[in-house]
Amino acid sequence: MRSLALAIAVGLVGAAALHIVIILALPGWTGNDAWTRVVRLGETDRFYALANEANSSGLLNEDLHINVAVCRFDLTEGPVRVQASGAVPVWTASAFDTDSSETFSINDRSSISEDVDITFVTPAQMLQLRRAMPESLASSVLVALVRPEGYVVLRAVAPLPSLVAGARAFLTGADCATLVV
Amino acid sequence: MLRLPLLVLVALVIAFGGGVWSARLALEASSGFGALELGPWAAFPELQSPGADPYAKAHRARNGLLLLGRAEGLIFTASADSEGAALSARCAYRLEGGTPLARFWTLRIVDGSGSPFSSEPGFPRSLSSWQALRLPDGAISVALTRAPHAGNWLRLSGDGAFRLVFTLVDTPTAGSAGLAVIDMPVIRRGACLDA
Repeated sequence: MRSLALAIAVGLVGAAALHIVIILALPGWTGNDAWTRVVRLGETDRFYALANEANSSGLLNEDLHINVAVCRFDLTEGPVRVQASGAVPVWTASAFDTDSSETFSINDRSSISEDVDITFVTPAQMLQLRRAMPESLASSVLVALVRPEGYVVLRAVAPLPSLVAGARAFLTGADCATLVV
Repeated sequence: MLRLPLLVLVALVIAFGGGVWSARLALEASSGFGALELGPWAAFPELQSPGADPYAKAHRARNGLLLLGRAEGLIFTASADSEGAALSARCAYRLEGGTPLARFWTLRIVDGSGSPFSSEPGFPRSLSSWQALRLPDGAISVALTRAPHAGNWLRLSGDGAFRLVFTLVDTPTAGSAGLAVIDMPVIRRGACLDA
């Protein structure tokens, strides 16, 4: 009887250890996290507007009133500039790293102009740009990211069915391009 | 003679079964620590942040959703009514009360696993702050029923569990500064179909 109690106790300790290992190791093993899904969408430097219906990419507009586009970038080649313009009631954008952790977020009220104009740079590129800031980047929001790889999510709100076309146009017209410095 | 192998087997079964079961349970029950709970509504403002706890990180890696950044908004979900009973599509509900400060919000229904509620086209399955009719004091009142209803109405169908998702876009709520004074609508259950 005592040895059975001991076996159960050992089992419970093992269960607790395994629980901790599973929770800590899971982010690297699901193969289904947001970064993997974004990589599966396609190449870098272009926005992919998501569909409203469930599809094989696993990414969709969960909210019919909020249209989403996502662009994957890699800053090792140079800074990446994200631009979009159009009449949408509200737009928001945020950048995530390869762990799908937020590195930056902004909305139309906190941005400089009404249009989306964000440039993602590495700290080294930021120093370079500070020395000689190109005229064209003067009104762009400069964001230094520690990790060069990541993705940016752009959302356009369409509160009414008649505004969906405008939000879609805003996202399909969105530009995500590596700058040549 | 077979005692020792049997005991080892018991220990292994408890360790593996218990470990896997408890990890699954923990990831399905919640999105991590640090939930903001307002009645039946819960939000996880730190879910997308680099400082999220290991449960939140495991949860978001498993679900693979594009989360809202801090400046973008905050998502509240409810899987129970204000009395604490699980939401079921067999019952009628009414949401009543004020909405938190936000530039835009949407209210939608998802099924128990979190995927969008299947609904025939033409029936309303989400409501936005631009479309919602308001009471004279600015509060909202939304009917969740099977049959059409005057005023704000979202259609329930099927007979399983469902969840309500309240998305706030560009809200100071995400900074959680004034959260204690923010009120979310209460969810009252009405009549249920007989089993």
